[in-house]
Amino acid sequence: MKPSIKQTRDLMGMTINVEIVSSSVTDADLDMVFSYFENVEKRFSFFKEDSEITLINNKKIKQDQYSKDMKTIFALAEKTKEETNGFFDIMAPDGQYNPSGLVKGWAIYNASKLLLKKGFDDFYVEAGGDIQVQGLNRTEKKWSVGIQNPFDPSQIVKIVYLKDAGIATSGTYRRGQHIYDPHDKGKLLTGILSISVIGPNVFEADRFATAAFAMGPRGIGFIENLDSFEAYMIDSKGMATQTSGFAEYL
Amino acid sequence: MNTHLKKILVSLFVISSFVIYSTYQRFGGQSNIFDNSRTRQTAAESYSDLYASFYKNQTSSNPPNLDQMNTKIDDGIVNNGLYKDGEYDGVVADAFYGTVQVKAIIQSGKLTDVQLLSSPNDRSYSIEINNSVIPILRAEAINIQSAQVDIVSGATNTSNAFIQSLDSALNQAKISSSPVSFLQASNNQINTSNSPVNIVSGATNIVAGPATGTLAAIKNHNGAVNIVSGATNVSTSSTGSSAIQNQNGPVNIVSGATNVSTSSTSGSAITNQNGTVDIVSGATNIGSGTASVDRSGYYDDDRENEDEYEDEYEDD
Repeated sequence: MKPSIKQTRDLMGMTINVEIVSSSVTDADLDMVFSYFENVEKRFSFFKEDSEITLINNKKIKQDQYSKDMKTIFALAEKTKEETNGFFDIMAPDGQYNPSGLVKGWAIYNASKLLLKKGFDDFYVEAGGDIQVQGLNRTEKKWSVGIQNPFDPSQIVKIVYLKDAGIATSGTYRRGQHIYDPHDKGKLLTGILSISVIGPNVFEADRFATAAFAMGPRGIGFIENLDSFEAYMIDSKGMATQTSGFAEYL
Repeated sequence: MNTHLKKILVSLFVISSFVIYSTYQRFGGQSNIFDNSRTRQTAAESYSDLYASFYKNQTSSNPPNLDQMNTKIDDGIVNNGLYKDGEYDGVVADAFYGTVQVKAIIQSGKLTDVQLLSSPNDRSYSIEINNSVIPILRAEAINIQSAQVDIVSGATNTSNAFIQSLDSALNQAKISSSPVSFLQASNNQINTSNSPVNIVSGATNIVAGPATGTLAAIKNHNGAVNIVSGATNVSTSSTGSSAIQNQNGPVNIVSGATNVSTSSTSGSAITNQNGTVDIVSGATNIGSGTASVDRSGYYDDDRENEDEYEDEYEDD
């Protein structure tokens, strides 16, 4: 068992967990990661009047005045939009921009790059259920990641083993809400509760999980047709569908 | 000036300033959340028909153990046949980098559809994905795993906001004598008897009107109306209507900023008979076309900055 430090902080309405397997982790290292998230919030939070995204949406900043990070996010958004045939679009019908489907994964990925730069090889960074894992855990095995039961967040329904990869889960349904077919009231309807996407990094996983979820049951097909990505989708009847390469991670 | 007069005075000050404010809000100025929710309805997605066909070919010899999973679900919120038919907009809930708002549709007493009015991943749904040969993929019933893991991946944040919004929509639909609790009510009247109306919110808007006839934004008989809020707007612009019409129960407003107003011609901001009206607030605006508070009950006000309003006294 190797030494490791884990720290959890609640920032920006999310729980952020960082675990680093190393005997030389300092407070400064951990602060670096969490401050990075605070900076992301300052720039991207809708609930701050002076955040860059709020200023952009209030038309106070023009495109050529965007910060480097903001320009990066907008460029990534455009790329994702093309790759998903428009299912992923940060512009809402009213013209307001909401890049939140990208920012979380991108921020986690950047935070993990900061740790790599500091020389750490074995760690994970997790925020709001999206995770970037690097190297091995403290028992020198791949990181074991449980996929949450959308019917009960205290339970897990699948375990995957990851190394140097990202996993993001997108979902938005009431856990187990009973929804009936309006044409046949005795019948329960199916909807997608969550889709978990595994990819080479959490940024990619996050953006495709977001798009795949928006596609409903076709989302799993979208990921199936995407090289290097696997997914596990759970519907409101408790049925899970996985892409054909998903079993590699079991 | 006696205490009684002081109290009326304070509320009346608010009336005049707030009538102007609420009129501006209602008939001009920036769009409020109601406008936003109407705009977003054009982008709403219905789950009711879209997915049924996809699953008809999937089978499993292992149906999910719904009883086991549902033990946490039947917590009183999901009660078949205990909802009133109609469409109910839930609160606009905070999912961190964005908001989630849902609309619940009840038919024959059951929830038949949940529409997403807005979500942090709110995207254009109109473009179909083209490629679509989806091979047969492995399906299984989910099973609870008992092993320990290093980390958990789930859609917690958005789910919480979704649930928050859906719960508030379902609360509006519920037929029961239990308390009506709102995180935020949007464009609905609250009309109830015998139950308390509890509004605990950072920002609640309850509006009735414009219409003729005696509407109330909150109409409650026999129950308490409790508004504990950072910012609650309760208003109506109908003739002869009250923002809060309450009989026999207390109206308690504990707030940093509560606006209770009406711009109706013969309405009251708060009409309360036989009950107490307690307002403990840093800034409570009670505005009305004619009278601020019309009640035969005891009116008690413990406002901190009472003295400020001393000169604005107006007789009703």
